[in-house]
Amino acid sequence: MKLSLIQHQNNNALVAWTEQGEITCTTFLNDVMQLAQQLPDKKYAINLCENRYLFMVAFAAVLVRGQTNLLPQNQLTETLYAVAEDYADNYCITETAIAGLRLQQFNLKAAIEQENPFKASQDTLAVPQIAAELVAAIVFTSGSTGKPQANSKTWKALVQGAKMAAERFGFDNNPVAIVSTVPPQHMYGLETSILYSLQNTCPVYAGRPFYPDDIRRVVESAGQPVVLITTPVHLRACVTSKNLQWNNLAFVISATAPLRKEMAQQVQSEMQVSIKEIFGCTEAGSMASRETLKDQTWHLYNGIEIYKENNKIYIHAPHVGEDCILNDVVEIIDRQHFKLIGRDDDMVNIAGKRGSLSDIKLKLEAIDGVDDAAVFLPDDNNEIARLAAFVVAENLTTKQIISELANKVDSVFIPRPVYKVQRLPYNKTGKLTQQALTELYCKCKNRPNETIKAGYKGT
Amino acid sequence: MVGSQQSERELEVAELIVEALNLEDVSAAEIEPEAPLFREGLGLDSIDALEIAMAISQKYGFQLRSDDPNNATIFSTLRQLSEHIEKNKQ
Repeated sequence: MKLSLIQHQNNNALVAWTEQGEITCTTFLNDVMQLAQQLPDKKYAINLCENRYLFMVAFAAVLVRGQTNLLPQNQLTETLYAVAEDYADNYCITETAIAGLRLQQFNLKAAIEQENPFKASQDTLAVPQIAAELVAAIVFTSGSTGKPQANSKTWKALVQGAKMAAERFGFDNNPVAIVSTVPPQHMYGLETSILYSLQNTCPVYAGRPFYPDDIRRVVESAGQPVVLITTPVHLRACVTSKNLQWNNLAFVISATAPLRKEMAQQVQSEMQVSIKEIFGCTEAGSMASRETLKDQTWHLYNGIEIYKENNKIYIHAPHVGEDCILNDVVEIIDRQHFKLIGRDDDMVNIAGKRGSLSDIKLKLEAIDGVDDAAVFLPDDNNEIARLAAFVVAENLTTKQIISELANKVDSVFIPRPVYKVQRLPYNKTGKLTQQALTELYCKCKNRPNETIKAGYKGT
Repeated sequence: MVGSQQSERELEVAELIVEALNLEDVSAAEIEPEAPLFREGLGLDSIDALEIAMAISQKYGFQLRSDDPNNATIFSTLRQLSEHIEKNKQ
Protein backbone atom coordinates (compact mmCIF):
# COMPACT_ATOMS: atom_id res chain seq x y z
CA MET A 1 0.00 0.00 0.00
CA LYS A 2 1.15 3.52 -0.74
CA LEU A 3 0.13 6.83 0.82
CA SER A 4 0.44 10.31 -0.68
CA LEU A 5 3.26 12.59 0.43
CA ILE A 6 0.86 15.54 0.61
CA GLN A 7 -2.91 15.92 0.77
CA HIS A 8 -3.34 19.33 -0.84
CA GLN A 9 -6.14 19.49 -3.42
CA ASN A 10 -4.62 22.26 -5.47
CA ASN A 11 -1.13 22.94 -6.80
CA ASN A 12 -1.26 26.53 -5.66
CA ALA A 13 -2.14 25.62 -2.08
CA LEU A 14 0.43 26.81 0.45
CA VAL A 15 2.87 24.41 2.06
CA ALA A 16 4.98 26.98 3.89
CA TRP A 17 5.93 30.64 3.96
CA THR A 18 9.10 32.63 4.55
CA GLU A 19 9.98 36.34 4.75
CA GLN A 20 10.58 36.12 1.01
CA GLY A 21 7.13 34.83 0.21
CA GLU A 22 4.81 31.90 -0.01
CA ILE A 23 5.79 28.38 -1.02
CA THR A 24 3.15 26.48 -2.96
CA CYS A 25 2.77 22.74 -3.48
CA THR A 26 4.26 23.07 -6.95
CA THR A 27 7.41 24.75 -5.66
CA PHE A 28 7.70 22.30 -2.79
CA LEU A 29 7.32 19.24 -5.03
CA ASN A 30 9.87 20.68 -7.47
CA ASP A 31 12.36 21.17 -4.65
CA VAL A 32 11.71 17.67 -3.33
CA MET A 33 12.10 15.96 -6.69
CA GLN A 34 15.18 17.98 -7.57
CA LEU A 35 16.82 17.06 -4.28
CA ALA A 36 15.73 13.42 -4.39
CA GLN A 37 17.63 12.97 -7.66
CA GLN A 38 20.86 14.16 -6.08
CA LEU A 39 20.84 12.31 -2.76
CA PRO A 40 23.50 9.64 -2.24
CA ASP A 41 22.43 6.05 -2.74
CA LYS A 42 22.36 5.02 0.90
CA LYS A 43 19.86 3.67 3.34
CA TYR A 44 19.84 6.30 6.10
CA ALA A 45 19.95 10.10 6.04
CA ILE A 46 20.77 11.94 9.27
CA ASN A 47 18.58 15.00 8.72
CA LEU A 48 20.23 17.91 10.53
CA CYS A 49 18.47 20.83 8.78
CA GLU A 50 17.37 23.56 11.16
CA ASN A 51 15.28 25.65 8.83
CA ARG A 52 11.88 24.00 8.92
CA TYR A 53 11.20 24.26 5.20
CA LEU A 54 14.60 22.87 4.27
CA PHE A 55 14.10 20.09 6.81
CA MET A 56 10.75 19.31 5.21
CA VAL A 57 12.21 19.23 1.68
CA ALA A 58 15.02 16.94 2.85
CA PHE A 59 12.60 14.76 4.83
CA ALA A 60 10.33 14.31 1.82
CA ALA A 61 13.18 13.75 -0.65
CA VAL A 62 14.54 11.00 1.60
CA LEU A 63 11.10 9.32 1.55
CA VAL A 64 10.82 9.65 -2.21
CA ARG A 65 14.11 7.76 -2.46
CA GLY A 66 12.78 5.04 -0.13
CA GLN A 67 15.35 5.95 2.53
CA THR A 68 14.93 6.59 6.26
CA ASN A 69 15.41 9.90 8.10
CA LEU A 70 17.49 9.58 11.27
CA LEU A 71 16.59 12.34 13.74
CA PRO A 72 19.05 12.74 16.62
CA GLN A 73 18.06 14.80 19.64
CA ASN A 74 21.02 17.17 19.32
CA GLN A 75 23.95 17.86 17.05
CA LEU A 76 26.78 16.95 19.40
CA THR A 77 29.38 14.98 17.47
CA GLU A 78 29.27 12.28 20.13
CA THR A 79 25.52 11.82 19.55
CA LEU A 80 25.92 11.76 15.76
CA TYR A 81 28.72 9.19 15.92
CA ALA A 82 26.65 6.96 18.21
CA VAL A 83 23.72 7.11 15.78
CA ALA A 84 25.97 6.58 12.74
CA GLU A 85 27.58 3.55 14.32
CA ASP A 86 24.27 1.71 14.62
CA TYR A 87 23.05 2.68 11.14
CA ALA A 88 26.19 2.24 9.11
CA ASP A 89 24.92 2.92 5.60
CA ASN A 90 24.37 6.62 6.29
CA TYR A 91 25.08 10.21 5.31
CA CYS A 92 24.17 13.56 6.91
CA ILE A 93 22.02 16.21 5.27
CA THR A 94 23.27 19.59 6.47
CA GLU A 95 22.34 23.14 5.52
CA THR A 96 25.96 24.20 5.67
CA ALA A 97 28.90 21.88 6.25
CA ILE A 98 29.64 21.03 9.89
CA ALA A 99 33.38 21.43 10.40
CA GLY A 100 35.22 18.51 11.92
CA LEU A 101 32.35 16.04 11.56
CA ARG A 102 33.82 12.77 10.28
CA LEU A 103 30.66 11.58 8.52
CA GLN A 104 29.64 11.94 4.90
CA GLN A 105 27.84 15.26 4.56
CA PHE A 106 25.42 16.21 1.83
CA ASN A 107 25.09 19.97 1.63
CA LEU A 108 21.44 20.79 1.03
CA LYS A 109 21.81 24.48 0.32
CA ALA A 110 24.48 23.88 -2.30
CA ALA A 111 22.23 21.26 -3.91
CA ILE A 112 19.12 23.37 -4.25
CA GLU A 113 20.84 26.72 -4.67
CA GLN A 114 21.94 25.67 -8.13
CA GLU A 115 18.45 26.77 -8.94
CA ASN A 116 16.46 29.07 -6.73
CA PRO A 117 14.57 26.81 -4.29
CA PHE A 118 11.73 29.29 -4.02
CA LYS A 119 11.25 29.70 -7.74
CA ALA A 120 7.71 29.84 -9.01
CA SER A 121 7.83 26.82 -11.24
CA GLN A 122 4.90 26.13 -13.51
CA ASP A 123 5.62 22.44 -13.90
CA THR A 124 2.87 20.43 -12.33
CA LEU A 125 4.27 17.32 -10.75
CA ALA A 126 2.51 14.18 -9.68
CA VAL A 127 2.24 13.80 -5.92
CA PRO A 128 4.82 11.19 -4.83
CA GLN A 129 3.37 8.02 -3.32
CA ILE A 130 5.28 6.64 -0.33
CA ALA A 131 5.17 3.00 0.79
CA ALA A 132 3.01 2.82 3.92
CA GLU A 133 5.39 0.45 5.68
CA LEU A 134 8.55 2.44 4.89
CA VAL A 135 10.34 3.47 8.08
CA ALA A 136 10.09 7.19 7.39
CA ALA A 137 11.97 8.31 10.47
CA ILE A 138 13.87 6.98 13.41
CA VAL A 139 13.59 9.42 16.30
CA PHE A 140 16.24 9.18 18.98
CA THR A 141 15.90 10.00 22.65
CA SER A 142 18.52 9.63 25.31
CA GLY A 143 18.23 6.32 27.08
CA SER A 144 19.26 5.34 30.57
CA THR A 145 22.19 3.31 29.28
CA GLY A 146 24.12 6.15 27.70
CA LYS A 147 23.22 5.09 24.18
CA PRO A 148 20.56 6.96 22.20
CA GLN A 149 17.29 5.03 22.08
CA ALA A 150 15.77 4.50 18.65
CA ASN A 151 12.06 4.79 17.88
CA SER A 152 11.04 3.80 14.37
CA LYS A 153 8.13 5.55 12.68
CA THR A 154 6.55 4.10 9.58
CA TRP A 155 5.07 6.49 7.04
CA LYS A 156 1.65 4.99 7.77
CA ALA A 157 1.98 5.73 11.51
CA LEU A 158 2.96 9.33 10.89
CA VAL A 159 0.09 9.86 8.44
CA GLN A 160 -2.42 8.26 10.80
CA GLY A 161 -1.14 10.31 13.75
CA ALA A 162 -1.66 13.51 11.75
CA LYS A 163 -5.22 12.44 10.88
CA MET A 164 -6.08 11.84 14.52
CA ALA A 165 -4.74 15.25 15.47
CA ALA A 166 -6.69 16.92 12.65
CA GLU A 167 -9.86 15.33 13.96
CA ARG A 168 -9.13 16.40 17.53
CA PHE A 169 -8.22 19.99 16.71
CA GLY A 170 -10.73 20.49 13.90
CA PHE A 171 -8.21 21.44 11.23
CA ASP A 172 -10.47 20.20 8.43
CA ASN A 173 -13.20 22.70 9.18
CA ASN A 174 -11.08 25.63 10.30
CA PRO A 175 -7.99 26.14 8.18
CA VAL A 176 -5.05 27.37 10.23
CA ALA A 177 -1.36 28.05 9.70
CA ILE A 178 1.37 26.69 11.97
CA VAL A 179 4.16 28.59 13.72
CA SER A 180 6.42 26.40 15.81
CA THR A 181 9.30 26.92 18.19
CA VAL A 182 10.01 23.19 18.47
CA PRO A 183 12.83 21.55 16.46
CA PRO A 184 11.56 19.24 13.68
CA GLN A 185 13.97 16.52 14.83
CA HIS A 186 11.90 16.18 18.01
CA MET A 187 8.90 13.81 17.76
CA TYR A 188 6.49 16.53 18.91
CA GLY A 189 8.02 19.02 16.46
CA LEU A 190 7.98 16.52 13.59
CA GLU A 191 4.32 15.62 14.08
CA THR A 192 2.95 19.08 14.72
CA SER A 193 4.82 21.08 12.11
CA ILE A 194 6.05 18.82 9.32
CA LEU A 195 3.18 16.31 9.30
CA TYR A 196 0.48 18.95 9.94
CA SER A 197 1.76 20.73 6.86
CA LEU A 198 2.14 17.68 4.61
CA GLN A 199 -0.95 15.78 5.69
CA ASN A 200 -3.31 18.32 7.29
CA THR A 201 -2.59 21.06 4.73
CA CYS A 202 -1.69 23.63 7.38
CA PRO A 203 0.96 25.98 5.93
CA VAL A 204 3.96 26.15 8.22
CA TYR A 205 6.37 29.00 8.85
CA ALA A 206 9.76 28.01 7.42
CA GLY A 207 11.92 29.31 10.26
CA ARG A 208 12.07 28.74 13.96
CA PRO A 209 11.27 32.05 15.69
CA PHE A 210 12.97 32.26 19.03
CA TYR A 211 12.43 35.43 21.05
CA PRO A 212 8.86 36.30 22.03
CA ASP A 213 8.79 39.32 19.76
CA ASP A 214 10.08 37.23 16.83
CA ILE A 215 7.26 34.77 17.45
CA ARG A 216 4.68 37.54 17.65
CA ARG A 217 5.81 39.08 14.34
CA VAL A 218 5.80 35.74 12.53
CA VAL A 219 2.31 34.95 13.84
CA GLU A 220 1.08 38.28 12.46
CA SER A 221 2.72 37.65 9.10
CA ALA A 222 0.56 34.58 8.40
CA GLY A 223 -2.28 34.86 5.93
CA GLN A 224 -4.68 32.99 8.20
CA PRO A 225 -5.14 32.41 11.94
CA VAL A 226 -2.18 30.67 13.52
CA VAL A 227 -1.83 27.74 15.86
CA LEU A 228 1.33 28.39 17.86
CA ILE A 229 3.11 25.12 18.68
CA THR A 230 5.41 25.57 21.62
CA THR A 231 6.51 24.54 25.10
CA PRO A 232 6.00 25.79 28.68
CA VAL A 233 9.48 27.35 28.56
CA HIS A 234 8.64 29.53 25.57
CA LEU A 235 5.18 30.37 26.87
CA ARG A 236 6.67 31.63 30.08
CA ALA A 237 8.96 33.91 28.07
CA CYS A 238 6.03 35.12 25.98
CA VAL A 239 3.84 36.10 28.92
CA THR A 240 6.67 37.56 30.98
CA SER A 241 7.90 39.84 28.20
CA LYS A 242 6.13 43.13 28.60
CA ASN A 243 3.98 45.09 26.20
CA LEU A 244 3.47 42.44 23.56
CA GLN A 245 0.18 42.55 21.68
CA TRP A 246 -0.73 39.16 20.25
CA ASN A 247 -2.90 39.16 17.15
CA ASN A 248 -3.93 36.49 14.67
CA LEU A 249 -3.69 33.51 17.03
CA ALA A 250 -6.28 30.74 16.68
CA PHE A 251 -5.00 28.87 19.74
CA VAL A 252 -1.80 27.72 21.38
CA ILE A 253 -0.62 24.12 21.74
CA SER A 254 1.93 23.30 24.41
CA ALA A 255 3.66 20.00 25.05
CA THR A 256 6.82 18.31 26.37
CA ALA A 257 5.91 19.02 30.00
CA PRO A 258 2.59 19.71 31.70
CA LEU A 259 1.67 23.37 31.86
CA ARG A 260 0.91 24.63 35.35
CA LYS A 261 -2.61 25.98 35.71
CA GLU A 262 -1.31 29.41 36.79
CA MET A 263 0.83 29.61 33.67
CA ALA A 264 -2.12 28.56 31.49
CA GLN A 265 -4.19 31.34 33.08
CA GLN A 266 -1.46 33.86 32.37
CA VAL A 267 -1.25 32.72 28.74
CA GLN A 268 -4.97 33.15 28.37
CA SER A 269 -5.04 36.63 29.86
CA GLU A 270 -1.79 38.03 28.42
CA MET A 271 -2.03 36.50 24.95
CA GLN A 272 -5.84 36.55 24.75
CA VAL A 273 -5.94 33.03 23.42
CA SER A 274 -7.11 29.59 24.45
CA ILE A 275 -4.54 27.00 25.34
CA LYS A 276 -4.51 23.30 24.56
CA GLU A 277 -1.94 20.75 25.54
CA ILE A 278 -0.77 17.57 23.85
CA PHE A 279 0.44 14.54 25.75
CA GLY A 280 2.69 12.12 23.98
CA CYS A 281 5.76 10.01 24.16
CA THR A 282 8.38 9.31 21.55
CA GLU A 283 7.30 5.67 21.31
CA ALA A 284 3.64 6.32 20.46
CA GLY A 285 3.77 9.98 19.42
CA SER A 286 1.03 12.45 20.33
CA MET A 287 -1.81 10.54 21.90
CA ALA A 288 -3.98 12.81 24.02
CA SER A 289 -4.94 16.42 24.54
CA ARG A 290 -6.63 18.63 27.09
CA GLU A 291 -7.84 22.19 27.44
CA THR A 292 -5.82 23.04 30.49
CA LEU A 293 -8.16 25.63 31.96
CA LYS A 294 -11.31 23.59 31.44
CA ASP A 295 -10.24 20.21 32.62
CA GLN A 296 -7.09 18.53 33.96
CA THR A 297 -8.10 15.21 32.40
CA TRP A 298 -6.29 14.00 29.30
CA HIS A 299 -8.54 12.86 26.44
CA LEU A 300 -6.94 10.24 24.23
CA TYR A 301 -7.23 10.67 20.46
CA ASN A 302 -9.95 8.54 18.87
CA GLY A 303 -8.60 5.04 18.36
CA ILE A 304 -6.02 5.17 21.16
CA GLU A 305 -6.66 3.48 24.50
CA ILE A 306 -4.99 3.28 27.89
CA TYR A 307 -5.13 0.29 30.21
CA LYS A 308 -3.35 -1.31 33.14
CA GLU A 309 -2.01 -4.84 33.19
CA ASN A 310 0.35 -6.44 35.72
CA ASN A 311 0.85 -3.08 37.37
CA LYS A 312 2.05 -1.51 34.18
CA ILE A 313 0.30 1.16 32.16
CA TYR A 314 -0.06 0.39 28.46
CA ILE A 315 -0.99 2.52 25.50
CA HIS A 316 -2.87 0.77 22.73
CA ALA A 317 -2.22 2.72 19.55
CA PRO A 318 -2.95 0.43 16.59
CA HIS A 319 -1.21 2.73 14.07
CA VAL A 320 2.19 2.42 15.77
CA GLY A 321 2.15 -1.35 16.20
CA GLU A 322 2.51 -3.14 19.51
CA ASP A 323 1.08 -1.61 22.68
CA CYS A 324 3.74 0.37 24.49
CA ILE A 325 4.44 0.88 28.16
CA LEU A 326 3.90 4.36 29.55
CA ASN A 327 6.50 5.33 32.11
CA ASP A 328 4.56 8.19 33.65
CA VAL A 329 2.53 7.73 36.79
CA VAL A 330 -1.14 8.07 35.82
CA GLU A 331 -4.61 7.54 37.18
CA ILE A 332 -6.78 5.80 34.61
CA ILE A 333 -10.35 7.11 34.51
CA ASP A 334 -11.53 4.92 31.64
CA ARG A 335 -9.98 3.59 28.43
CA GLN A 336 -10.09 7.04 26.82
CA HIS A 337 -9.26 9.28 29.77
CA PHE A 338 -6.53 9.61 32.38
CA LYS A 339 -4.90 12.01 34.78
CA LEU A 340 -1.18 12.55 35.11
CA ILE A 341 0.01 12.06 38.67
CA GLY A 342 3.76 12.24 38.42
CA ARG A 343 6.69 11.44 36.29
CA ASP A 344 8.99 8.51 36.05
CA ASP A 345 11.79 9.01 38.56
CA ASP A 346 14.57 8.63 36.05
CA MET A 347 13.36 10.42 32.94
CA VAL A 348 13.29 14.20 33.01
CA ASN A 349 12.09 16.73 30.51
CA ILE A 350 14.00 19.94 30.16
CA ALA A 351 13.01 22.41 27.49
CA GLY A 352 11.37 19.64 25.53
CA LYS A 353 14.33 17.33 25.62
CA ARG A 354 14.02 14.05 27.41
CA GLY A 355 16.99 12.89 29.38
CA SER A 356 17.77 10.17 31.84
CA LEU A 357 19.19 11.07 35.23
CA SER A 358 21.03 7.77 35.43
CA ASP A 359 22.61 8.39 32.02
CA ILE A 360 23.95 11.78 33.16
CA LYS A 361 25.11 10.22 36.42
CA LEU A 362 27.03 7.56 34.45
CA LYS A 363 28.67 10.24 32.35
CA LEU A 364 29.66 12.23 35.44
CA GLU A 365 31.15 9.15 37.05
CA ALA A 366 33.09 8.38 33.89
CA ILE A 367 35.11 11.59 34.35
CA ASP A 368 38.62 10.94 35.67
CA GLY A 369 38.75 12.04 39.29
CA VAL A 370 35.02 11.75 40.00
CA ASP A 371 34.45 9.04 42.63
CA ASP A 372 30.71 9.23 43.04
CA ALA A 373 27.90 11.36 41.70
CA ALA A 374 24.17 11.95 41.98
CA VAL A 375 21.95 13.94 39.64
CA PHE A 376 18.75 15.43 40.84
CA LEU A 377 15.90 17.62 39.57
CA PRO A 378 14.95 20.08 42.30
CA ASP A 379 11.23 20.66 42.65
CA ASP A 380 11.34 24.42 42.14
CA ASN A 381 7.86 24.80 40.66
CA ASN A 382 9.15 26.66 37.68
CA GLU A 383 9.00 26.14 33.89
CA ILE A 384 12.77 26.34 33.73
CA ALA A 385 13.89 23.47 35.83
CA ARG A 386 17.61 22.81 35.90
CA LEU A 387 19.37 19.73 37.14
CA ALA A 388 21.60 19.86 40.17
CA ALA A 389 24.45 17.42 40.70
CA PHE A 390 26.41 16.32 43.73
CA VAL A 391 29.88 14.96 43.11
CA VAL A 392 32.55 13.42 45.22
CA ALA A 393 35.76 14.54 43.53
CA GLU A 394 38.52 15.70 45.77
CA ASN A 395 40.95 16.96 43.17
CA LEU A 396 38.67 18.51 40.58
CA THR A 397 37.01 21.92 40.54
CA THR A 398 33.33 22.13 39.59
CA LYS A 399 34.38 24.10 36.49
CA GLN A 400 36.61 21.23 35.34
CA ILE A 401 33.79 18.78 35.88
CA ILE A 402 31.31 20.88 33.92
CA SER A 403 33.65 21.38 30.99
CA GLU A 404 34.34 17.63 30.81
CA LEU A 405 30.63 16.94 30.80
CA ALA A 406 29.85 19.59 28.20
CA ASN A 407 31.34 17.42 25.44
CA LYS A 408 29.11 14.50 26.26
CA VAL A 409 25.76 15.88 27.34
CA ASP A 410 23.29 18.23 25.67
CA SER A 411 23.68 21.68 27.24
CA VAL A 412 20.19 21.71 28.78
CA PHE A 413 21.18 18.71 30.90
CA ILE A 414 24.41 20.16 32.25
CA PRO A 415 23.71 20.35 35.98
CA ARG A 416 23.69 23.85 37.32
CA PRO A 417 24.93 24.03 39.96
CA VAL A 418 27.32 21.15 40.53
CA TYR A 419 27.99 20.79 44.24
CA LYS A 420 31.05 19.07 45.64
CA VAL A 421 30.28 16.89 48.64
CA GLN A 422 32.42 14.52 50.70
CA ARG A 423 29.93 11.74 50.39
CA LEU A 424 26.41 11.13 49.17
CA PRO A 425 23.45 10.64 51.54
CA TYR A 426 22.83 6.92 50.95
CA ASN A 427 20.25 5.34 53.24
CA LYS A 428 20.63 2.01 54.99
CA THR A 429 19.66 0.05 51.92
CA GLY A 430 22.19 1.93 49.83
CA LYS A 431 19.64 4.09 48.04
CA LEU A 432 19.58 7.81 47.41
CA THR A 433 16.08 9.00 48.15
CA GLN A 434 14.53 12.11 46.65
CA GLN A 435 14.07 13.44 50.19
CA ALA A 436 17.72 13.00 51.12
CA LEU A 437 18.79 14.69 47.91
CA THR A 438 16.36 17.54 48.54
CA GLU A 439 17.79 18.08 52.01
CA LEU A 440 21.32 18.02 50.69
CA TYR A 441 20.34 20.44 47.93
CA CYS A 442 18.90 22.94 50.43
CA LYS A 443 22.00 22.66 52.54
CA CYS A 444 24.35 23.18 49.59
CA LYS A 445 22.29 26.06 48.26
CA ASN A 446 22.86 28.01 51.45
CA ARG A 447 26.57 27.32 51.49
CA PRO A 448 27.58 27.12 47.84
CA ASN A 449 31.31 27.62 48.22
CA GLU A 450 32.19 24.89 50.64
CA THR A 451 32.49 21.19 50.26
CA ILE A 452 29.59 19.81 52.27
CA LYS A 453 30.95 17.25 54.67
CA ALA A 454 28.23 14.89 55.68
CA GLY A 455 25.56 13.74 53.37
CA TYR A 456 22.49 13.97 55.48
CA LYS A 457 22.42 14.79 59.19
CA GLY A 458 23.26 18.36 60.14
CA THR A 459 26.93 19.26 60.26
CA MET B 1 36.93 50.50 26.14
CA VAL B 2 39.82 48.11 25.65
CA GLY B 3 40.77 44.59 26.61
CA SER B 4 38.93 42.65 29.22
CA GLN B 5 38.22 45.49 31.62
CA GLN B 6 34.51 45.72 32.43
CA SER B 7 32.87 49.12 32.06
CA GLU B 8 30.26 50.22 34.58
CA ARG B 9 27.52 49.55 32.07
CA GLU B 10 28.88 46.08 31.38
CA LEU B 11 28.99 45.30 35.08
CA GLU B 12 25.33 46.26 35.36
CA VAL B 13 24.43 43.87 32.51
CA ALA B 14 26.66 41.17 34.02
CA GLU B 15 24.75 41.54 37.28
CA LEU B 16 21.49 41.14 35.41
CA ILE B 17 22.78 37.92 33.79
CA VAL B 18 24.01 36.44 37.07
CA GLU B 19 20.75 37.29 38.78
CA ALA B 20 18.43 36.15 35.96
CA LEU B 21 20.22 32.83 35.58
CA ASN B 22 21.01 32.13 39.24
CA LEU B 23 24.65 31.56 38.40
CA GLU B 24 25.81 30.54 41.82
CA ASP B 25 29.42 29.87 40.93
CA VAL B 26 30.10 33.00 38.87
CA SER B 27 30.22 36.59 40.10
CA ALA B 28 29.24 39.47 37.83
CA ALA B 29 32.71 40.99 37.98
CA GLU B 30 34.22 37.71 36.73
CA ILE B 31 32.43 37.71 33.38
CA GLU B 32 34.93 38.79 30.75
CA PRO B 33 33.45 41.30 28.32
CA GLU B 34 34.95 39.71 25.22
CA ALA B 35 34.61 36.03 26.19
CA PRO B 36 31.79 34.00 24.63
CA LEU B 37 28.73 33.73 26.85
CA PHE B 38 27.41 30.61 25.17
CA ARG B 39 28.89 27.14 24.83
CA GLU B 40 32.59 27.13 25.66
CA GLY B 41 32.61 30.45 27.55
CA LEU B 42 30.09 30.78 30.37
CA GLY B 43 28.38 27.68 29.03
CA LEU B 44 24.98 29.27 28.56
CA ASP B 45 22.38 27.78 26.23
CA SER B 46 19.21 28.78 24.44
CA ILE B 47 17.02 28.58 27.54
CA ASP B 48 19.36 31.10 29.14
CA ALA B 49 19.04 33.34 26.10
CA LEU B 50 15.26 33.38 26.68
CA GLU B 51 15.75 34.15 30.36
CA ILE B 52 18.07 37.02 29.52
CA ALA B 53 15.53 38.33 27.00
CA MET B 54 12.82 38.34 29.69
CA ALA B 55 15.05 40.13 32.18
CA ILE B 56 15.99 42.74 29.56
CA SER B 57 12.39 43.41 28.60
CA GLN B 58 11.54 43.97 32.25
CA LYS B 59 14.52 46.12 33.15
CA TYR B 60 15.17 48.05 29.95
CA GLY B 61 11.70 47.99 28.37
CA PHE B 62 12.50 46.60 24.93
CA GLN B 63 12.30 43.23 23.21
CA LEU B 64 15.25 41.28 21.86
CA ARG B 65 14.86 40.15 18.27
CA SER B 66 16.87 37.80 16.11
CA ASP B 67 18.27 39.34 12.94
CA ASP B 68 18.31 35.94 11.39
CA PRO B 69 15.17 33.90 12.04
CA ASN B 70 17.29 30.79 12.51
CA ASN B 71 19.78 32.30 14.85
CA ALA B 72 18.82 32.64 18.47
CA THR B 73 22.04 34.18 19.69
CA ILE B 74 22.12 37.77 18.46
CA PHE B 75 24.75 38.54 21.07
CA SER B 76 27.73 36.41 21.83
CA THR B 77 29.61 38.42 24.43
CA LEU B 78 28.81 40.63 27.38
CA ARG B 79 30.21 43.61 25.44
CA GLN B 80 27.93 43.02 22.45
CA LEU B 81 24.90 42.61 24.68
CA SER B 82 25.69 45.80 26.61
CA GLU B 83 26.06 47.76 23.38
CA HIS B 84 22.79 46.35 22.08
CA ILE B 85 21.03 47.39 25.29
CA GLU B 86 22.53 50.87 25.18
CA LYS B 87 21.20 51.38 21.64
CA ASN B 88 17.72 50.08 22.35
CA LYS B 89 16.78 50.82 25.93
CA GLN B 90 13.75 52.96 26.58
